[in-house]
Amino acid sequence: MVSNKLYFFKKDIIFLLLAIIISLAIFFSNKSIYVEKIEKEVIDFVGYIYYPKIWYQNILLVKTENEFLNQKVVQLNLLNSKLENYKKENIELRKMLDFKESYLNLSLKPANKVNHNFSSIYSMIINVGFNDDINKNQAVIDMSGLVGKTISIGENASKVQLITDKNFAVSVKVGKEMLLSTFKPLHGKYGYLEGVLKSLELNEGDIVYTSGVSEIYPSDLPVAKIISFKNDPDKLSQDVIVEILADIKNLNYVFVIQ
Amino acid sequence: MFLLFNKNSLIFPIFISFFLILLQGFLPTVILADGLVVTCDLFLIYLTWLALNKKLYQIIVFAFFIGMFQDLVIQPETVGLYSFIKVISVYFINYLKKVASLWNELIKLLYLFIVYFSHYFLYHYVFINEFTSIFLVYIFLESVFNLIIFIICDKIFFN
Repeated sequence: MVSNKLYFFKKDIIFLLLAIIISLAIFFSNKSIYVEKIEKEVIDFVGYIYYPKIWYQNILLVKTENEFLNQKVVQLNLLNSKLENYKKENIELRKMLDFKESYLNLSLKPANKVNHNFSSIYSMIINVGFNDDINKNQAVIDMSGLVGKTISIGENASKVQLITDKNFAVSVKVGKEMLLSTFKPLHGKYGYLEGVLKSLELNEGDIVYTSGVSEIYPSDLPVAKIISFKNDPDKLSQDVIVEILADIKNLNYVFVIQ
Repeated sequence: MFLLFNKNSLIFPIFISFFLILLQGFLPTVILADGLVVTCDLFLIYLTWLALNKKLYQIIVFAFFIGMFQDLVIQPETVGLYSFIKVISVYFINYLKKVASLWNELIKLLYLFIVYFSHYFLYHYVFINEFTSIFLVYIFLESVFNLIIFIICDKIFFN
């Protein structure tokens, strides 16, 4: 009895659903403005019904997107820093290029400092060596002045004795008359000139250049700047204190004179 | 003859429907305002009676075709609309059979009124651009009018 009732109930429902589906299919197959209006409203209604689902999905999506964007922000920040660094490096390299072109009579080999304090505080290692035609006892300069000379050559790297090394000495020209003397380092960025005649007229701020007497250093390379001088009656020569022009503490790029 | 007057046969209702088609064309209308015309839907009234007295699945099929006929005659642009509404209305009217002994006459009439109101509401909703209280009043009056016709017919013919 129950199954019989259920059969009729199902029959009614099946006929109802069929009739509804067919009539709606016929209705929506029309292309009149009224049907289009109802279609729009049905779409709006479906959108309204599905709004909570879409809202929830959006929240999940926003969370995922947020994590992704955070990662992206960090990556872009790092990239930005890298590009900023490249920009500075580019400016620096352009300056070096200009500097190199200003010494056309010299053959300058650009080099990059590898490690300043690897073996000694008075030497540094650069990334050019025998394979780059670098030899022992070649002058090394930066854009400000003399840095030192190569003392040990590897295949792809070289050791440079810095101008601040106590054993370093270079023949220089000083004063208006460009008389010869010898530069020797004192401490830090300071040095002194040995053998400056008392008769020589000096001025503070005068630049001291290499004399070219030595085979290692070509002439007219800026070495230091006079910061003080004193005529001691008990001595045969003047006491001249100079400041090294090369920025020894912040060396990045140098040139080896070949 | 047996088929015509058999209780479960649909031949007799179809025969009546042809008569109603002819009669519907000659029925007077009540003009409320410009464009607002209240008409008596003899098919809806007849389907109401059928839904209360015949098997539901048969009436659903019958309502579908009656609705389709009305669509084709009245508004060919929206074929399927009346058949959909008629089928839905018939299904809900049939529910009165199940609660015949539970509800009193007033509640049954109220329920029937709600079904009629929904029927006309759905129909007019498709055609109107702006929904105003005037339309609600119009649909209300149309539903009441048809309900009264049904009650009269029920008293005179269906009994």
